[in-house]
Order: sequence, then C-alpha cells, then structure tokens
Amino acid sequence: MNDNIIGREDIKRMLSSISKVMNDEKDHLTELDSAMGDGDLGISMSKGFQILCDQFDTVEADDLGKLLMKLGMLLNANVPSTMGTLISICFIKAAKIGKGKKELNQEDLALMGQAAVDGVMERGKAKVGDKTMLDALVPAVDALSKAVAEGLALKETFKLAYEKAAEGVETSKKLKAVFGRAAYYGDKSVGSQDSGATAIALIFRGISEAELV
Amino acid sequence: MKKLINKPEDFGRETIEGIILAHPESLKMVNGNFRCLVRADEKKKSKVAISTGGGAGHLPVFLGYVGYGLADGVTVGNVFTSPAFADMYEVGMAIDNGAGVLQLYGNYGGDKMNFAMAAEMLDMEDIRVTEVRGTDDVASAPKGEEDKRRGVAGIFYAYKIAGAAAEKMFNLDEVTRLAQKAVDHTRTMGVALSPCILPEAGKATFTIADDEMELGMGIHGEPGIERTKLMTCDDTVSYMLDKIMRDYEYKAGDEVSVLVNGLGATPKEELYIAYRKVSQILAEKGIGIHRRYIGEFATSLEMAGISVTLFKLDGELKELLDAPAYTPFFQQFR
Repeated sequence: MNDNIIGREDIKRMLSSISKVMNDEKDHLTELDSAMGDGDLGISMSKGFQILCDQFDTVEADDLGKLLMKLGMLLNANVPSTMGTLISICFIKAAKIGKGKKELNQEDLALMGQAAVDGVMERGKAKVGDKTMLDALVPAVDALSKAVAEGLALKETFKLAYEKAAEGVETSKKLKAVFGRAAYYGDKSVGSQDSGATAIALIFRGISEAELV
Repeated sequence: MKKLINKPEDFGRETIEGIILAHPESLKMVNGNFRCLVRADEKKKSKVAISTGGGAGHLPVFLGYVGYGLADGVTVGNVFTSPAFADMYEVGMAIDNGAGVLQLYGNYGGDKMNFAMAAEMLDMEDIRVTEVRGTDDVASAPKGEEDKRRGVAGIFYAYKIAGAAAEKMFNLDEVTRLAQKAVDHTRTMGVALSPCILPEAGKATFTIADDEMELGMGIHGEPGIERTKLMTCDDTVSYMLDKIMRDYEYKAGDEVSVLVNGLGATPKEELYIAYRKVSQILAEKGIGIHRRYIGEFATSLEMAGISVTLFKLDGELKELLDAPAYTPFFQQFR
C-alpha cells in the first residue's frame, strides 16, 4: 500500500476539511471582501464547499476525472460568482488530467495544479502580481511540483503547499489591485490582503489538515 | 421607485416560471432548472443547434429568441449577471442534434469566460462548438476595435440569420459564417433618458437630470459617449444615424433593414416618431429599407431610451431575413 496515493475517499475528506475551514473563516473572508469587493466571498465559499460535501455521495464516479468534473459543475451552478467560477474552472481543468484514473499520484496532483493555474490565467486573463487568487495559487502549485522533484511525502507536500499559499497572501498585501471591483480602489488597495488569494490559502489549509485514508 | 414584484430575490425565477406557464408549447426547462430553457417542439436530427444566454433583465433578449427559425436553447443568469458555465453546458447537451452547437451571445466579459468553459466541456463530449459574439454597439469602442464592442439590440439580426440558416439544414461552418456575417453587417447606437433599477439593489444604476440624456449608453447603464441636454427626437435620430454611418459604408442603392428598439420605458409612439426620421434620412441618401422592426427587442428593465440598428443586406442575408420565425416574443410569418 502506498501512502502517497489519493483516492475517492481522500477527495471527500479533503472537501470536508476545506468546508470546515471555510465555515470557520466565513466572517474573516466576508470582512476582507467587503473592504474591496462585493462582500459575498465568505458566504459563497462556505456555501459552495458545503454543497460539495452534502452532494458528494450522490455523485457516482470511480473515474476521478469524472468525479472532479461533476463536482466542478455542481460548484459552478451553485456559486456562479467570479471567484466561484474560477475555482470551478480549477476543478474542470484538474478533471481533464484525472480522466480515466481511479487514484492519483503526486505527479498527477502537480499536473492538475498546473492545469488549474493555466485555466485561471487563460479564462481570468490575470497573471501573478495582479493581486488576485493567482498570487496564492501559483506558489502553492509550484510547491506541488517541487515536492515531486524532492520526493516529499504527501503530508509534507500539502503542508508546504499551504505555507507557500499563505506566503502568497502576505505578498499580496504589497500589491496594487488591477482586476475586478478591487481595481477601483487603485493605490488604496495596497496594504490589504487579497480576498481571492486568501480563499485559495484556506483551500490549501483545508487540504493540509485533512485526515487522509 | 416602484416595482410590481414579490420578493426581490425571487424576481428572476418568478419571471421564468410565468413564461413557462404561459408558453408551455414553446419553451421547457432542462432537468427542472429554470436557468436552462430549450425549445419545446420536436428536435430536428442533424440540425445545427444554436445556444445563447446572458444576464436577465433584457427581455426579449435572450430567451425570447428561442424558437423556430431562431435559437434552440438559452441559459439565463441573474439580472445583468452571466449565467454559470455548468448551466450553459447542460443547455448545449440538451439541444445538440448531432450537427454541433453555435454559441451566439453578446460580447461581455463574464459571458465570454463562461461560454468558453462550456465549449471546452461540450468538446469533451465530442460535440463540436463554434461561437459568434454580438458586437453591434458603435458607441462602445472605436472603429477598428469592433471585437471590443458590446452586443446590444442588433444581436436580433444574428439570431434571425443564423436561425434561418440552421432551419435550412446548413452545416455548422456555414451557420457560423452567416452569424458572423450578420454581426459584421450590423451597427447599433443607443441613447438613454432615464436609468433602470435592479430589483435586488433597489436603486437606480446611474443618475441623470430630468432635462438630460446620455448618448451611446450601454444596456446595463455603461457610460456612453456624452451627456447632453435633452434633444428633440429628430435631432437625436440624426445624431445616431450620423454615428452609425460614419462607422460603416452605406451608399445610394444599398438596402438595409431597420430596427428601432425601445429600452423598456419608452412608448411605441416615440419609437415610431424615431422611425419616421430614420426613414426620411435613408430616403435622402437613396438607401432602401427592406423590413423594419419597431418595438422592444432588447431592453434594460425600465430604462427609458431607444436604439437604432441598421443591418446592411445582400442577396443571401435578405433571403434568410425573410424566412419565417416564431417564438412567444417574436413572430414573422411572411
């Protein structure tokens, strides 16, 4: 048995852990998003991941690609805000890598992460340094690749990815927003952390705190 | 501001429930989802399917153009908000007849992102997808940057041409080419006299003095070219046609179709006063008019104002424009 393999049950546990984190941090996200955005991020993230947990068992698919595809669509249909859409895009892009697989190794995870980054850049038209979710997502995904290269165990990999995402959130404080509603604040956005990057860091925190099979 | 609604958050769903109750022979939901509507009549094997969609608040755009000779399915978002790509995908799956899907919609950022994702997912199901975006609003970006322009009332012509081509069983490439050609031949200019109120926000999308109008304003209240004192209808129409005619080549002997559209709160009387002037100006320039459409084709809730669209015709466009089409919101039998 290989401890560094992810299966359907692990994905369920990760989502459940993310959902708990989002629920705990709902007010914090709402506060961050109200300062620069439209204030719905806390509610949409906690609602979105809660629905994924509630509906998980109704999604019948051993093919993890199909599973992620259906979860992405479920999230998208229920949380069609910009951030909800972009996270759904991450699921769909990852699903393509997972197509036909019943379990995922760490290389798969790194490829999925990269596909998610590419998808968000392609569809969202943003890049690193624009004070968006990418400022947390890109360093976290880089950590997934680095972990493969260095042969880290899964648990350490997720811990590293979360640390890098959290560092990305810190970095976002120094940046000026150029996207979305936050862009209207221009120079005034410097000093506050990006809510989208924060949500990404919370997702990686949830993954790192999950008790895997 | 007064609105005859129930709970503001139920506005979108209750609108569609009413439409489905009124027109069950024409429209039905996909999997009981009120955001996904398709034609209720029998599907035609091997016919190219046309998928559209966008934010609510613009009736008859977009769902009013689902029916014979027009589009096959629509995804409806919240007011002025793009629908989810997962819902667009469900509509695409439901309407495909094995000949591919044309996604035809207005050129807005959110819709563009979501339709692109829907296309990617349909592609995974081996459904061929093409797209054409309405970009007819001359006020929204300068000449030469047509692909940055917003889609407004003139998208009607793209539905009409593409829908007629699909009913004639043209293939996906041909339907797509004709839809794009219709967009390329269409120019619209709008003016707003008063704002609309989003049901959930409960306040006006912009403010404007009683004696002012905004030239070139978008159908979500996007800023226009300039704000002026309220002009007469004739002067306003002259200004609009001047903008359109500087943007596209029209010469004596050409034939156009004219669409005079009300934005929601402007009475038909005023639309006909506007059409009168359009007709006079075109006659002076020796430009013929083939088919005129006067009424509400793309609105912005209770915004007051009008838009004028010219659709330059040639032989193949004229034939497709003349084809019959009918939905609960639009009928053309001859």
